[in-house]
Amino acid sequence: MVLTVKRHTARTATLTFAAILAIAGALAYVTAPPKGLDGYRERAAATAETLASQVETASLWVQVQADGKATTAATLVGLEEAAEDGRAAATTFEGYEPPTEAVTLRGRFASLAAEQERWLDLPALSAPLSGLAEEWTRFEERAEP
Amino acid sequence: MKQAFAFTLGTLSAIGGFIDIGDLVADAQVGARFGLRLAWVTLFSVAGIMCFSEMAGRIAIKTQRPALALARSRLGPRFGLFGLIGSLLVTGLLVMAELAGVALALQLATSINYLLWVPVAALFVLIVVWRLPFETMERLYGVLGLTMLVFVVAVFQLDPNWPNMAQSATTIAPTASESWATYLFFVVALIGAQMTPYEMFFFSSGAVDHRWRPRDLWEMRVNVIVGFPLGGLLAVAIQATAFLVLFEPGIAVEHLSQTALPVAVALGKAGLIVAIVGIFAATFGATLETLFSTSYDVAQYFGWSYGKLQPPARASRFVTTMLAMLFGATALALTTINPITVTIVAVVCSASLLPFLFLPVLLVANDRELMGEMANGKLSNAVGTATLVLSCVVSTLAFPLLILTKGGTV
Repeated sequence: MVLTVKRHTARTATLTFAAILAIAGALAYVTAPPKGLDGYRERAAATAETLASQVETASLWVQVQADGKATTAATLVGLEEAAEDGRAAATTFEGYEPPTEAVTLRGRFASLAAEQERWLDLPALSAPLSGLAEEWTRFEERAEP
Repeated sequence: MKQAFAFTLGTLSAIGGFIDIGDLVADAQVGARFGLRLAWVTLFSVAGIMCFSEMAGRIAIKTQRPALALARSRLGPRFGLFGLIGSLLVTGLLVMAELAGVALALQLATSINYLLWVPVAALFVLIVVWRLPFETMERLYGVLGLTMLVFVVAVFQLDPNWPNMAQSATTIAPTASESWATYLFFVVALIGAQMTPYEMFFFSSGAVDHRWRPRDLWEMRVNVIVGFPLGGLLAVAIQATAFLVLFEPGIAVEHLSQTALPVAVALGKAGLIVAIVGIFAATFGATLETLFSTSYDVAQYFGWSYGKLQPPARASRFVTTMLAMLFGATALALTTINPITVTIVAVVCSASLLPFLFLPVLLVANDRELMGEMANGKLSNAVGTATLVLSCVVSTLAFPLLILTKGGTV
């Protein structure tokens, strides 16, 4: 009886330990920084895609607001979310150490990110926002490995 | 007239149960990334949840016991405990996500940060749960939930190219820029969002709470046959509006505000306000349903007295569990954890649990000794078995796809 209980406890402990290891491994995989030039370029392209999406979202909110189709409260929320997500994505990417071959790519990214910061602070200008989205898309195409 | 109104109420609560924060987010994400290429998943989910909700309702009517409680008691306490823990974790996460959804809807209406709205939303939920009778509660969020039909109107207002829509809806493959892994991840996410276990559980426990009898069988079936397809229609409408407005500019949906944005484009300020009211009603209704569902679950497992129809003093442990869940969800939401990320994780976990909830219900519904002439027929068994088999595949793939695609972000 005691032996059965001990076996059961040992099995539960092993299963719990295995589950914790699996979760830790999954988290490490999901949050790991990019490896090598291809990995870095891939991450640059994905970040550019996210940033283009944020700029397009902001642009659309500005447009519907200008057409009198959205409430000011909803537009403010939409713009703030786009700006915050854009900043978070850019900051995460800028935290990665670029391989030596990707220094130019990193420089171009930084200058576009700075431009984005400027336009998202002036959301009334929808035309520059759409131009910026196109620039991000071009960057994404160039960055793809 | 009274009976017709009863149908309306049941139908409306079914819509409220089907469209929750998981759907609002997952449908818009899918529409913006894949167009209507995943609309078939909604058709499958509607058929599956209709089949199992009807079975659960039938079991409750015949035995006067909630389907899952009965099924678990037959499969032993260990299976029951596993189901209880799994269901508590998933639905507990969903309570938090739905509550945050209510706060996000209020943020959209006022531009005041949602974190300030979370305690207000929790207080509102508490007042409604404590003070309002069951039927008034259903009526409140059911009627308000009808405003979600604004998404259907928006589809027509956007004047879509119908052959294009049809072509997208009949293509079962990812778009050129997306991988099969991401496509399959969103299949899992949609199934998890649309076949949430709490819908079936709430429906069955509600049937016992309402004291439905065999003469109410057809009323229950009308609720299922009308309510869930209407919920499915709303889900496809959200996918379609996102497809028509967000797909072309390559917008990835990460916020509830982006779900509402296509309605503003189509119908202007009035449409946007109606959509925000609909989002508020859907998430508010789902907060109540998830809250009740988890409390029913715990109370039934431990054999406590339960039910909204009982005064709180007679079901004190049931009410205490509900309050503890509500406070826990409020505290979790206030940690600033991203509610949309929580929603995605919760719907994937929910998808992985489905076979463990479907199998016992299917077994009990086939028990002729218990169910007599109300046991499953050929159609219920065919649809139920097909749903169960597919849910096993979905359950196996859910976590590997979540990790491989980093939650659908690659």
